Amino acid sequence: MIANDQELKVTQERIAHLQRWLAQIRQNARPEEFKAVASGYRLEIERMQAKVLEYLLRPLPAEREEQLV
Amino acid sequence: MNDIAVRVENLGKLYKIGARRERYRTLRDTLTEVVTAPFRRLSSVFSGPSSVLSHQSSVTGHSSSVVCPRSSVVSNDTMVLVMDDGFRLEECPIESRGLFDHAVAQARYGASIFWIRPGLLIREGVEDFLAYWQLKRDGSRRGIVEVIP
Repeated sequence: MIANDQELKVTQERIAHLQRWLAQIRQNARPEEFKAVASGYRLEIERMQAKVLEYLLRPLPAEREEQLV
Repeated sequence: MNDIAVRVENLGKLYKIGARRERYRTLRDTLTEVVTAPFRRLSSVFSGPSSVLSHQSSVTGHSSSVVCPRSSVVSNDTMVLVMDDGFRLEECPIESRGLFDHAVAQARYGASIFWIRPGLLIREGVEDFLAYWQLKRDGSRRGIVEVIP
């Protein structure tokens, strides 16, 4: 679970990193291996995107809301 | 680089296992046990702690290194397989191909397995690839264990 904005940033960077790898794999993998080699990166991206969304959709803690008022 | 038995970088720990000199035997054996501890569920594939790489090599003929971060990024254990560019998945024995399909490996062995070969990553080297797996969500680095057959 992502705990704060710093972890959110790192997770988003990790997603971008994995996507760059996937783009390279797509360009360079042989047809016989592409599906298998890409499968892990795809699932990892999906896992992390779900965590990002979970964090972004979580309401702010009450004390943080008070600071913003 | 193969002569390095233990190497520490930044805040993480990088263990290079596979030293050929006998005096490292005890250390290697100890570290190999550390490597394999999180992957005991793979025991149906790997016959024992000290045979992870020899088995992997004999099964696929092309495993060049195995990196095993103790991961907290995913809920289960993570294993990263770096294959050499001569690796041909379609030439693997059918019983070992499941290792290279993430969902199959997850279901069969309970481990998240990612694999790559250097030729697939044109813009980044294997070192950069490995560095990625050291990075924790809080920005710090975890120790990784690299085993070289």
